[in-house]
Amino acid sequence: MKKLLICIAMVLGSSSLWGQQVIPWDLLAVPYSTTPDGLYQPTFPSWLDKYKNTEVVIQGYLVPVDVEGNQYALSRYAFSSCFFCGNAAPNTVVELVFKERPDAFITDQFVVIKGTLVFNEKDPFRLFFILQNASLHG
Amino acid sequence: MRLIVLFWRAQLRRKTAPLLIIAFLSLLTALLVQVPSMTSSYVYSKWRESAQYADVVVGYKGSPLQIVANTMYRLENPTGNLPQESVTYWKKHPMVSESCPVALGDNIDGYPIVGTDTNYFRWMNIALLHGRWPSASTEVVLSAELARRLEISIGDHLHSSHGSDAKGEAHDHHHLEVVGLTHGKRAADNEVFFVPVEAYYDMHHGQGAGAVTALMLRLKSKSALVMLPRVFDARANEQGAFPVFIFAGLQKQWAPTLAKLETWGMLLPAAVALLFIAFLYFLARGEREARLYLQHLKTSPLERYLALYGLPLISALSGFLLHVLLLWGFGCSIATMGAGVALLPIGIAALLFIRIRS
Repeated sequence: MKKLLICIAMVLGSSSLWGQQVIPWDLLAVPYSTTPDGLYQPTFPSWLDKYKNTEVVIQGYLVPVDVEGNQYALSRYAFSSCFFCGNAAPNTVVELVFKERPDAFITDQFVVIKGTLVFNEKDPFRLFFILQNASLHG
Repeated sequence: MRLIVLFWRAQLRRKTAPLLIIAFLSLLTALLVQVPSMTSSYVYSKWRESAQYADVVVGYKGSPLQIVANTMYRLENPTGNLPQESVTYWKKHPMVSESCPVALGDNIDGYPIVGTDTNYFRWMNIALLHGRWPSASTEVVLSAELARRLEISIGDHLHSSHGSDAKGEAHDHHHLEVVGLTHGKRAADNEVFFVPVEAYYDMHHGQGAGAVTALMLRLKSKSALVMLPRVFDARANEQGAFPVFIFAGLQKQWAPTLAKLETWGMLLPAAVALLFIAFLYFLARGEREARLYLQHLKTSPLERYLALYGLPLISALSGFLLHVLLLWGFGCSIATMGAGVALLPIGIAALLFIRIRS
């Protein structure tokens, strides 16, 4: 009985966090091509469509992209080994657009963020995935 | 009022040392309260400021810290020069919205010469006070402050020297005419001469034409900032210095220390503040005879209060104001909350004085 309860808890824990859809980073590892100028063109597989414009939860490390604390990216890996500082891929970072200006975060702070997952199919100057209306979760 | 002035004069004669100690303790409390915010400002300010002006600074392969310090603050030696091919590549890069070249390496009277274009003046908020901006390779502008110090005026002719030392090889063949006086928001921009970047090529007989020391870039989006480091990895001999990432790295290193300093750093000013209040309290208790004399003269409570404690309070406020002046003089920002906390002991002392009756 005890083992069964642990199993149920683990299954629930891996698929949802406080009732929300938790997106594993592997799911966001979409294929992409690169131009000689370093612009990326992602391809979004059809099996990802069910997440498009839906509210999801993603966990990762915060990386500031401006010093005023207005804009952040969420990275699968910590700062020293994230996509732009280490050798990870561009599909390991998600752009965050917060609903309200967040309190100052610290670089590499591990956070759980809730927001609407938008697929960026057109703008080459933004990241593949944008989490709109983002807020801290839990 | 005359009575109050008489009392203050007597206090000044008899209690000069205690009044100076009050001012010193007040100054010390205020400065100690500001230590955490001053440390934070010292660690971050330059990098925070740098990131506001440019998203990326492209330099020759080397340390990103050195590239930013040299390009924006002239604090370090350049890592090298960027060839014309690199400059053209980055100016036309699709992620770049605007660029600004910076050429360095020569000086006038030991002050660096910055070869740049009009974007630099706009980005760094440099205002033209007199004359006009330099447009030809024989024209130079400098800050009104530096011009006053070196006794230079508009219309004067100058010659540059090679390197950072005024005794370096002189460029006698290349005349520079002062055409304007400026004022920069940043101290670093008031300690240099500005020329069009082409002036550097003429100073060196056309050698290295098209090359610059660094190229500052503004990007089309902040997310582009995240994508560019990969592009630099593929480019030989070019280094991208990202002020925001330098800031992020520093923030990560310093955040725990600063958090501790904010918590524990309050103990020391609190101890000094208590000492300060106690000193004022015992000083006030020693005024018993004077208080009785004032009561005998049928003075109002307010007159008695001002006559006895006005000067110690003014002395305490002077210490507080001195801390504001000191911080302002050293170019440190004053944390409003910290200043409020520093005023608290003076307020407590003022209230304690009302309570003293015997």
